Amino acid sequence: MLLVVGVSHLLVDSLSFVYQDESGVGGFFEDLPVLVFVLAGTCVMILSAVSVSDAIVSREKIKELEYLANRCADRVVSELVGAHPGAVIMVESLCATRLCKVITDCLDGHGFRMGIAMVHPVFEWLLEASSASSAILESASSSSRLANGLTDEGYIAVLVVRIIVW
Amino acid sequence: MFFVVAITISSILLYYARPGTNDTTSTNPDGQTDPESVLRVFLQASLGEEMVLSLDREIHISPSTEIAECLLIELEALALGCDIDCFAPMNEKLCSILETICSPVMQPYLLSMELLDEENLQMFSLPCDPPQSGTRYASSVELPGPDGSLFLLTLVLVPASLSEIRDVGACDLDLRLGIDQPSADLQP
Repeated sequence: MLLVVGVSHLLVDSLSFVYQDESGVGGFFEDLPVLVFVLAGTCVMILSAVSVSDAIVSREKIKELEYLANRCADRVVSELVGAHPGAVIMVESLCATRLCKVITDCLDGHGFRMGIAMVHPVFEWLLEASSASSAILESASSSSRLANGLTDEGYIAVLVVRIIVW
Repeated sequence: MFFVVAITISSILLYYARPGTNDTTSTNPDGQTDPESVLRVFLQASLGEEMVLSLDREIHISPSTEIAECLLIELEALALGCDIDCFAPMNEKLCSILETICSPVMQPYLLSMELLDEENLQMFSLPCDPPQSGTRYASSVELPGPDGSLFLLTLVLVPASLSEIRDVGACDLDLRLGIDQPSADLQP
């Protein structure tokens, strides 16, 4: 508090000296207001530049995560249905280990959590898998795909494959 | 002057870097928000419930019947002049299935029409006509009937409002957790 008061007194004294300098003799204290404005402008520009660059980096990272999540979801669905797009997935054949390997190969070190749920005719979690990655969760993106699956009872179900990548 | 220029440049930079200015369009849409994907899995899925339709004769629909077949039965009957009320239980079930697939981010509307030579005849809209304004996503598929008639099914997805997402999300969670009444902490 004392420091702030001291500095403000110093500034007031220096500025009053400027105004009292009616003879027009130049000096360090006469240029202080200009220096303050230049420094303030420079600080504003630097701060905004840092803020903008942070935002751009963060946006690019989220775009990359979105791309990875979409690619992973496509890979998981194509792994499940095989070479026939739109084919029915055998619900019994879902294997977490195989899908984890597919996702791990696709993600290149990113953390993930994947879930497959049947939403029709009944809701049921069929499979969950996650990475052992200890990556810090700074930003994340998710993607989902729909597919049909054949249940044990012979019904064609609706499955939702959802993956979260970070 | 320098200060004013600095403020101007900073304002321009911050304006273009503010949240929400990034391109939100995606070439690879999410499964539950993509009408083509929703319509494809919906039509191929089983009805999941046994139904008896009382038309001029009783029609039994098994739980494993594909929804596309169910819709074809309904559309053919409606084209022959049957009352849509006869299909009320089935339509309710179809709406429920669609909402389950799209919930909670999208509100689905299923429209059907018969494609005729002179004009197209609208058959039904489930659960009602979609809103005529705002953001809408749609996909269509043609269903050929056995007698040569042709029907067009259109699925319209409308993004749900934030309050709808919150309400549906809470109810959906309750259903999935097996809770009959919404718990107090899930209430908005």
